[in-house]
Amino acid sequence: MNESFILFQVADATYAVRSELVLQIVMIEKITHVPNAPSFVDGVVYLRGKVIPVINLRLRFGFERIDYDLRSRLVVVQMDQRVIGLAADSAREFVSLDTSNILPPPEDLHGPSLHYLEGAISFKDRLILVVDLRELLSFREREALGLIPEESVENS
Amino acid sequence: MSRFNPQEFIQDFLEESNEHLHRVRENLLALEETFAASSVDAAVARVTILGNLFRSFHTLKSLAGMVGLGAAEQLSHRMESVLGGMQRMDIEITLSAVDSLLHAVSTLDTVIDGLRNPSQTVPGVEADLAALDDLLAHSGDSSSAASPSSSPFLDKTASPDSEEDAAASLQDANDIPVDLPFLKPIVEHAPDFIASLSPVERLAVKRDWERGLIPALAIFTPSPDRAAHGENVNVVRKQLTSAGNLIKGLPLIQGSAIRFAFLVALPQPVNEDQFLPMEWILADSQAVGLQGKALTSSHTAQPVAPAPVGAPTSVRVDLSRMDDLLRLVGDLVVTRARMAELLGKLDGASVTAVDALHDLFSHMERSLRDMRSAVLRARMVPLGEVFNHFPLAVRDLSRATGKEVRLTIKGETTQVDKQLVERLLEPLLHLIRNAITHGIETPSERLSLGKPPQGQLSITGVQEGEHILITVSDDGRGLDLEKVAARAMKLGLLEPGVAITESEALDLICRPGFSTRDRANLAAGRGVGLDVVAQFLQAVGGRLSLSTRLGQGSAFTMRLPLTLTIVDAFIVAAGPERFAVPRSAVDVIVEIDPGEVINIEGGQIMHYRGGPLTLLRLSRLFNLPGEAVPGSNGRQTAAAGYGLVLNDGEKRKALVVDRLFGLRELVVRTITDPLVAGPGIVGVTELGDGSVILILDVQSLLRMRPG
Repeated sequence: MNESFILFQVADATYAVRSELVLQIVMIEKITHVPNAPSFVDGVVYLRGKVIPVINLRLRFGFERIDYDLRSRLVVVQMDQRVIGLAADSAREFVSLDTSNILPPPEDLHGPSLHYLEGAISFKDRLILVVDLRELLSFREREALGLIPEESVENS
Repeated sequence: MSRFNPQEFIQDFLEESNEHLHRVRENLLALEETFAASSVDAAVARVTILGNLFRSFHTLKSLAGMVGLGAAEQLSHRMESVLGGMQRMDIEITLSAVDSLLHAVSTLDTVIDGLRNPSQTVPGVEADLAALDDLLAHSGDSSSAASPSSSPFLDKTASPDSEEDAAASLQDANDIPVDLPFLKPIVEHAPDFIASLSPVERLAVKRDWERGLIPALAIFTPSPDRAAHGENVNVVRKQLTSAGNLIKGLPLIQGSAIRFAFLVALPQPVNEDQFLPMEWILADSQAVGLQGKALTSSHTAQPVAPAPVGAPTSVRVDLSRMDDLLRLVGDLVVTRARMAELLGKLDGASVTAVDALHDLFSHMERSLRDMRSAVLRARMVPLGEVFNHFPLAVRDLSRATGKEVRLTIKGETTQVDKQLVERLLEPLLHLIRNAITHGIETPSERLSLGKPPQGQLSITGVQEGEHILITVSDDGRGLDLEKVAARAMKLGLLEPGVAITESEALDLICRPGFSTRDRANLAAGRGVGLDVVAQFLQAVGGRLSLSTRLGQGSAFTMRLPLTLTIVDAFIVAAGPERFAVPRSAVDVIVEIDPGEVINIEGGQIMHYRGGPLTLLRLSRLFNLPGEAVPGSNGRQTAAAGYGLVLNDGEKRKALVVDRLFGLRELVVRTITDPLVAGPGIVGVTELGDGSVILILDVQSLLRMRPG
């Protein structure tokens, strides 16, 4: 069935996230650094009365950090009452994809970032990687570090 | 011994105090002007002015305390108390009272100025303190809700000189009768309870009676036996609240026994069986059809002496005590996290021991969560605290505009954070003024439209999850969306020919300067109109929405976060980054003279107050480029900076920062997401210039240092 997705770029790859989960897409302005956050969390921004953590997707997916520029975008998503910003190299497209065509993630490749993919889909001669947002936003790493927050949450 | 000579800091203090003193003078003069003529917004302005003055004196008191200016602190504190009395209508606002305040402000100015010129003789403050004490000593004379001849709605702020004002007030007082004859049986049983009712509560009782509800006094006697069966005052409260309107609860003390009395309005017929066993005294019992166990007024219960009026089910707690409590809870949270860590490391230990520990741990977690909620709840106050300014304002506005307005208030008991409540007054006053001046039509106009001559204005407060919704609605003209669109087009804000929605119209009318009407505003220096409301909501992270029907009325709803934490904090810089350090964490600030810094293994110390002072550089805690430069003899030359001596037991640690910008009142935006939440950070705050900085939890930050 057809669902609408927002597409964004990180390094060479194009990723997709369901647009109903996206609250807004903004340019990246000053991010306030927060100590003791996981390495892939750049800090927080303050948008529309909420403090929103910023996940640097390049770092999350195992790439090197580059400076933010005019094309960089913060894709603000909401899931399970959490509002989080995903910092991507760019985010411009809004497409409709047939979810029955989503294939499992690439096999025989090793890398932590594949953990965050629901699958891959072919769209107009391009390969688009569909993101599993819940996995992307999980904080298992934090628990492993022993920095469990005040509320212990059951991971789904 | 280091020199205590924070010149830069004194400079900031002087600048800030002068700003406040200036505002105080403007406000006092504006207050004087409200006596001169009965201008449209006199009473409304007064409410705002009093709030401004109170806040300014409060800040001046804190500032003075920090630089150790005792006389200034005392004076400011006294003035703050006087203002408090005026706000509660315990102290009459007379021209001579304003005079005393003006004189005290003059003295305060000179005392503060003495910091600038130490050679200048500092004036004594005794005369002013005495004059202010005099005002305070006579407070309470004018408020006696029990006396039938003085209506709680009489404008106590009117100067005794304006006699026709006083006469007019008495006239209006008849519209809102004070003695509630149907309460006679209850009054006979517990006169002081009824005497303690506030004007808002009395209005609520009257309203409920008119709607056919039966006011009743229910008295619950707790006992250990009952508590063991789960029969306690909270259950009673819940039962009463779900059955009808719980208007007020008070503890009653008889000897060493405590009982709880609740004034409640219940729908007929009153069935005693639906509640826990209690004593009941009904209003005008003949009017009530009773079912279940018959309740008669011939109880054998003795009339009990209620707890002293003014000490109901609440207690005044210093906000700083609450902050201390919250901090302690925060500390416990960190301890808990460490326990979790340690628990994780236990292996090979006996299974039963580990299980037992886990159980204990879960139990502690639950208690901690409960404690935290309880402490947060303790800072909550009922919306009624701000709502009860409104009957007065509405009455004056209606008189001045020639409109007839019936005010309904609901949700006074809804609890909100104390600091949010204080900030709500002004925006709500704006909405009320708009509703009365622009919304509700004149009686004759209303009649010609087929409406009753009296306009309805309702203010409601409701909790919705983590938010509070406050709605001001009227049954007046409604907003003409087309007119708004037309004006927007004229101002070039809108393309011609475009129809607008309610929310777009709201956006437009909230812009400063959009309104066509010119309003002289006595509260000096503030904006007028809905832009104030919009700004306020932006500052606290809230939203405004509008629902309107042309010819039928409008409803403005403010949606606010339930708790708003505000702290006084120092804005500091460490390297290129700025941070906020809560004032409560700091004992005193010392200037660091690089020549006095002693480098030892593991860090730096300094001689201070007869002992060592550990210097902890903030820039090092955050791995920021500091400004330290190694000297030629290998000894690091620490740059000059400021040491915030920490307010922990020993007071021998100082957080060293590179720059100090001043003391600000900051709204704390908490960080809740598990990805970024953790010890060391209270939250973030937005500074005036739009940048966002971290608010530090210094104690836990220091505990997180490795080693």
